Amino acid sequence: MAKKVSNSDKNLEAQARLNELLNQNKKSRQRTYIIVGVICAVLITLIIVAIVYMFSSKDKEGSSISTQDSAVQAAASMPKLAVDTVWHPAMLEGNQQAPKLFREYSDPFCPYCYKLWKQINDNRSAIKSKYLDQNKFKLETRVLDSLSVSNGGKSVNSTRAAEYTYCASRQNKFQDFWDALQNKINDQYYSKGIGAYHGAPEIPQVEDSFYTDINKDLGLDESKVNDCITSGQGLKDLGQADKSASEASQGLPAIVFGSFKTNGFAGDWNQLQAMFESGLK
Amino acid sequence: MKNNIKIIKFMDDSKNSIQGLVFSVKKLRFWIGFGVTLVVMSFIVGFFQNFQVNVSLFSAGLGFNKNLKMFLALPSALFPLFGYFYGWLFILALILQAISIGELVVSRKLVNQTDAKSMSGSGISALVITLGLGCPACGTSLLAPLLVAIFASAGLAVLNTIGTIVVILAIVLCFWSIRRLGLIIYLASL
Repeated sequence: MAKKVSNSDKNLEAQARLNELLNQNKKSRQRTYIIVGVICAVLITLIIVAIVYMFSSKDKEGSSISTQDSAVQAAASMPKLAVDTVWHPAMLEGNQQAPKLFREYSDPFCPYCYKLWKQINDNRSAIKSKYLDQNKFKLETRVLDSLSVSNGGKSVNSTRAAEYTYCASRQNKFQDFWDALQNKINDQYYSKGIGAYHGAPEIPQVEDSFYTDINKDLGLDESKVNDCITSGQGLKDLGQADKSASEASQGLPAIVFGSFKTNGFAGDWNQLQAMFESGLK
Repeated sequence: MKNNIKIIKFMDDSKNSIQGLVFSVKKLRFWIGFGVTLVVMSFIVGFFQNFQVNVSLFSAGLGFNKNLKMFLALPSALFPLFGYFYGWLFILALILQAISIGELVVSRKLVNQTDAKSMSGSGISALVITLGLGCPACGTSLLAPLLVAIFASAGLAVLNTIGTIVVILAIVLCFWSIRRLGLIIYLASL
């Protein structure tokens, strides 16, 4: 008998607690819905604002690059590059006479730019045979230092890496240098979880030997590279690119191919092909 | 003394909510809710993980077949998340979200009404997870333009920290929902 009573008491207590939890009171339930509704509305509004901001066209002078940036200062007297024409033939793949231009804006130390490069590199022969050799488009990589500390980013190496890239392109070795650089950054950092994703430790500052070792392997003329660096020519080329690249202001890699424009890439070969098809339409 | 009572009550409720969760996982409804949520969230996460590219591609008019192929490939964006700690936080948030929805379905059947607070917690958690997606370093995270609008270029410097806080907040909300729903299910099953 005592056990039955205690079970019944237990059930009553549980029922009372359940009622308390479920807010049987209509007024308090309505208050909950209102508060939560407001929070959800704010979050949805923030998401919509962020999306609209990202997709709104911006034609800012010098894009988001700070006017204090030394690269832009170095290129102060140089004209802005026209958007739809090839900037640097040495940084182009494909026939320069091809009618359409696939522009890719990248920072040397940008992990998502690396993903795009990886897809292009792994499928280079397919891209060549299917698109470039058939003169469907030409593919240009436009190197920036948008993620550098001077531009509000966290990369302490972007500017120097970009300088060496432009200096290598002056000896017509852009693609070899860029491929070797991306592979080296991945081998030494991204594959070890450094600098590869949100929350990862940042890539530390590297010495110039990080780049000159690549130059040696590729057989570049070291004295010409030194002249290019010390005279600031690489920095000027970079600065001219920085101040001309408004499309890169909303994230990297920035891709512009005809009417197809986007920022960011975390996809695969299928997604890259879809981008090609979009721009060729 | 009052604090001790509160702690004991908290521990009791937590123990009961675990029992409620154990009760739930024996129900088919739980697994249906869990599975559907996981599938839906994987598509949402896959879309927003690379959302600028996805929106651009889906609106490029490539045709139904190509769009369908791209749509079905969206969950594959989750696979790289398994490679690092922050990605595992996201995966944890998704799984907890699915568990809380599974429990919500079971509790709905047991008490014949939907618990407003738990449902809200799950919903807010889903929106918060969405905000944290993307590549903060490259500026393609949804948080990036919001923080830059408020803090100018200094916003990029705090982006990583705030992104991490956002995901941890989503996980805390999920745990809260699971605990609450587990307790409701336990009490209703007595």
